[in-house]
Amino acid sequence: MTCTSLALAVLINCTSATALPVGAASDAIPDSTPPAWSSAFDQTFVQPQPGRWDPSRFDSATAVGVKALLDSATVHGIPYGAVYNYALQGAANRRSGQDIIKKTRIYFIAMVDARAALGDYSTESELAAGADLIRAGMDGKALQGIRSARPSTGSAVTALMVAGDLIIKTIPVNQARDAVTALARASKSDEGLNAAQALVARNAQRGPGMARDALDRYVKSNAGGAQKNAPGKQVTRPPGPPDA
Amino acid sequence: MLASLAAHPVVARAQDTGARPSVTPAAPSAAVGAITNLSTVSLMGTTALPSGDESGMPPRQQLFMGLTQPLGRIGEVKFTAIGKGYWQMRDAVASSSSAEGAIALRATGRVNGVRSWGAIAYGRAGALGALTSGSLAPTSPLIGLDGGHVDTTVSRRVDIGSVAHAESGILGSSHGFDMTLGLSVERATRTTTQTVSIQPVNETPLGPLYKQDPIVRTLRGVQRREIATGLASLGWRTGHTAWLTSLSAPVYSWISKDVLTPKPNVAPVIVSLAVAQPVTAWLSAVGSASTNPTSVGGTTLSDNGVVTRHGTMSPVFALGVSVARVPFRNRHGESTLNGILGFESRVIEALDSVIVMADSSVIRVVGDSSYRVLLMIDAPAAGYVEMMGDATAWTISNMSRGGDGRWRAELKLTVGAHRLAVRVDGGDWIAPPGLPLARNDFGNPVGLLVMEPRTKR
Repeated sequence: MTCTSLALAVLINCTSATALPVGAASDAIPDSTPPAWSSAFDQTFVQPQPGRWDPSRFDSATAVGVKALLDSATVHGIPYGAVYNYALQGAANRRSGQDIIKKTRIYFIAMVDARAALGDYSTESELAAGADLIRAGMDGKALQGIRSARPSTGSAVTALMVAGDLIIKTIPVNQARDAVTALARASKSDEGLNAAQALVARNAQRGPGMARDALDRYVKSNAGGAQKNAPGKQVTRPPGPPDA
Repeated sequence: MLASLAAHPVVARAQDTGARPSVTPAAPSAAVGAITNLSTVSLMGTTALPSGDESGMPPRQQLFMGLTQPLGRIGEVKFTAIGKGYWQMRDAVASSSSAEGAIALRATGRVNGVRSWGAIAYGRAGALGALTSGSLAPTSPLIGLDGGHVDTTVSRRVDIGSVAHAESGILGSSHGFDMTLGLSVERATRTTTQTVSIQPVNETPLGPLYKQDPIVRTLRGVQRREIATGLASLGWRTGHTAWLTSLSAPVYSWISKDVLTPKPNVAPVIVSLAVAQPVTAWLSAVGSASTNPTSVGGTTLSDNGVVTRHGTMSPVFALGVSVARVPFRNRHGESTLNGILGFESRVIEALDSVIVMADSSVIRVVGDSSYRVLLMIDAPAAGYVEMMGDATAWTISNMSRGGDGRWRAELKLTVGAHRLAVRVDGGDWIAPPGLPLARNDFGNPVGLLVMEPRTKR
């Protein structure tokens, strides 16, 4: 398989979006008529499965443990769907029941910490992204900083998600934190964050240093200054466009 | 769950309006308690199957207690004090025990010749759940160098709730049938506190080690619901056997909660049928069938994942034995059913409220929006392409090949982030190129697909 030869295109048909009752992942969508633009394709409609509890996805002992975790999560405000999907992900990867329970529990606790840091008004996606960051080593104060950098009425999920992606792509935690906070504060739009993520993704293939330098240059040119605690302050090259 | 049994099959004593045994065999009453002006003490043990939560859990054993004590009368209005209690035994791994007690004051009288009643009640309920190593810990606990088990989680949960209730209605009798019509208003509050203890594990080549002191988290959530419910019941007798059918329907409810606390159920419409068969003068066998396990007024603040107006039907069948201070047969040998059947039990759901798991997942949708998303993978040489992720509940779905060599799948996604992975020709799972990566502890990389709220677009 040649991964680099793959390309993903995501087409979003906003006009066909329909109201979805809370808790119904898919089957409650009343508009089942394919949109006009999709009729041109020989498409496969993947019917999303609602997050209905299905103990057959796990062995019996694991199912008991996962179910108890889901009970705890749901009762105490941790999104049930996120925790359940995480456990399903472990099952889909054919991990042992012990491993699934252990890591799902850690994920659950990370979501608790993320909720404490991001606040009660955070969405499920924000909590999930925040939990990823906490498990990556970011502390609650840093999460609060990213959250506060976004408009109070807006979503911080993109900022949190980009921070997590940067860390996975070898950007140090502190640099990722400072970069995302600066970019999130610089603009209400998520475009800058997405551009930084794409820039780092390209440069990470050349090595960790290239990715860090590229991110530093991008933040300097788009967020009005260098980040704190970030390497690359001695860069002499003038800041250029992201693809430079 | 047996709450429904005690909630609806309210069979009051025939002597509720006087010392003379009534020719009317049975008199249904309201939710708070049997409409009798006699001193009564009752006890009933029941077992229900299924438990009403579609979980496959074993039947639940419950014990109901109740008493009534007349306080006197002012003019034509009689006042009665009511006490009731409930205890559910812990019966399974990860289940919990729960108990409840309530007191009520009821007034009965005639308004323009029509028998009527009104009552107020206040109660407290608690549930204690302790998830021990039997349910949360790995089935084979890891052993550290010090010989101790590691990665042990103990979760302890305490639910404390209060219920304030007021109701009123009228009673009537005709052709051997007793009928009631009433309306109740109720406020129920639940505060849940849970303590979770985590012992992190430091994986080393020599085995797992304690990494640090256990992490202890205390979580608290509050739910509250006010609900107005219409009540109707009809009772009759065949010989000594008393029958009662009842209907309760929510008229309106007001639900408030912490932002991220699951939304309590909206009480469903409940229809029930109960039968009581006297065995001896003091002992009676009771049975009940109900469309839902929740009680009249919907005090059960369970966390159903889906908020539906009337809920889905979840039948409960129950059998029990009732013992009452007032004999079930009077000195004339007539059945005088009374007591515990008239004492509603209100249950605050415990940690093992697997109702949550029996229904769809909670997906918090910002703006109640969804998107049609067409995923296209450019892999013209591939024999087949598969995908899995949150949108497919992590089951593998085949993508279809288009005429241009691209592989396609259409998804309906809600607002938020969705994890996704693809593979070609059965190879390794990869994150779709171009998508941000999500942290993945299970080995294979996954990508994140974020759907923004439409209002932001």
